[in-house]
Amino acid sequence: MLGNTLVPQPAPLLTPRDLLREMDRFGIERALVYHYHRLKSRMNRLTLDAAKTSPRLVPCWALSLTPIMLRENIEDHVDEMLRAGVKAARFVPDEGPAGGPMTLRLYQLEKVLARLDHHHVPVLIPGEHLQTPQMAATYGFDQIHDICSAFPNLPVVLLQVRYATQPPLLALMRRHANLYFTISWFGLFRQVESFVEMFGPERLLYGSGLPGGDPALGVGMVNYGKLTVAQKEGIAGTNLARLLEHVQ
Amino acid sequence: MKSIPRREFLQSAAAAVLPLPVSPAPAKSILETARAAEKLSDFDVVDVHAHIAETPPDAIWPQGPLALLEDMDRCGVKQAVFSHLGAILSTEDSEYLAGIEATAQAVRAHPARFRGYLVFHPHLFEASRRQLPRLLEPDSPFVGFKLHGAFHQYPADGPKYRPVYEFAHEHRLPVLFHVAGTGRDWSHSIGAIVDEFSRMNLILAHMGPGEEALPELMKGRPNLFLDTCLSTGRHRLIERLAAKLGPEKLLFASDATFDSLTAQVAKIAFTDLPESDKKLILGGNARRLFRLP
Repeated sequence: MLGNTLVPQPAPLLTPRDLLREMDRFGIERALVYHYHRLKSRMNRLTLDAAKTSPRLVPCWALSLTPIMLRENIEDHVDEMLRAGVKAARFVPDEGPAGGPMTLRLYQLEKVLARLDHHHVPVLIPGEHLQTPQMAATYGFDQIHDICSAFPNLPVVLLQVRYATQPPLLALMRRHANLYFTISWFGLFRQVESFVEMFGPERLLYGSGLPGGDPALGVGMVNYGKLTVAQKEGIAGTNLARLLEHVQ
Repeated sequence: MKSIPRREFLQSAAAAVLPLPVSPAPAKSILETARAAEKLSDFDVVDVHAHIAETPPDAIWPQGPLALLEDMDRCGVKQAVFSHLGAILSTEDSEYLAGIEATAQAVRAHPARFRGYLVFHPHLFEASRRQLPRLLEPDSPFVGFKLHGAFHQYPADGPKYRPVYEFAHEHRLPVLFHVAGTGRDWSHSIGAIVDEFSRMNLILAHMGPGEEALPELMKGRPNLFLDTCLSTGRHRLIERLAAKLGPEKLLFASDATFDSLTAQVAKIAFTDLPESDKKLILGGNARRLFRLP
């Protein structure tokens, strides 16, 4: 993510140059990126502007899920995204009094999810809070299960899940072939290798989590992991590239 | 008289006047090595917080000493100081003692790679106390104590920990303390403890109470240190801690075979710190603190 947030990150990345410098340090060739702004009307414009500065920055559309305009349909934002040539979307919470916590209730989202599903657009969902007390006020694995069940062809990517999510994640990975996750905080000893052994490498993705997360964790899991070269290449990039190729 | 080749003579003469043995500088920096996915064996990497456990062979985690060694080799970690999870999680004296013995056996089997922590279990107090002198035995496999106040839900200033502090103070030993977790945090009492037992070197596991509270807690306390392992990680956290506390206060730790060694070693290798600071964190500080050869 680029840009400032209401509560500043300890080490924010404000410009594409800042992000590219950090990508260089960690050996990251390309990144899906979005630019945060408190106004959703500006957020994706800033993302597209950032992506124009370097082919290494691949735009990811920010879908804020709370309509704050009188005649707003969230699903219309998917069409706007596709017209802009963007091939991945992520849910972002709205800040401010009209927003409230992000909840991911299916009755609230089914139209936007159907539109994403129709075009095979991978949808990225923050997973950092899963299995923490914050889950009660927002969303948890039950909502992820509902989404994966209702839209079995929609690639659902959980971002930065913690190691303690292993039991529900394991169960959902067994049920839903359309569930993916990024590995950086999945940090138990050979936990990534174990999931590769159980499910194959295709549904595990590298995600830096910048500027909140430390990119080194996932890089280390891939670089030094007990994995084959093909498995490492998949997690490091080709799995995501394949998802983006399938977008129609 | 045996003749000495000129090159060999010059090298030995130079070695005699230099204060330290000179080894060739590694071709790559720590960052370049990690970025190339090459093991860090050109550098001195010591892991001060590792674990072994007895588990079925197909367990997802944790694992035994051979798996730990395998990952150490893959990453280029030279030595690890570990404790046995069976000793930490034991509910009976016999389990605890079996964990302690397994620790000693693993160190004896791999003396160049392993050193052990003596787990002190406050709820198995007498059995634990009887083990204290083992640290003073010649060629002891143990180099310090491991306290797990989080799992044991026992306060840092509780009376059952005092024999450990007294012993560590008397013999200038390190203590690795997992002080926070399971909804409880006894870090607030750590300052008074390290002040009272000033010859004990206390290492707060998992960076202790967190970034905000650490500068105040660690200020003016030369015998208080942090280990760097945590299953999650924030961007540039290690750099901020090194700037606020000094790199000499940080010790590389993985928590393997509980946590991922591969992730934790990369966390230090990829930091935006001077090479000299990284070397301290990765191994130099541990060698000094644990008096490792």
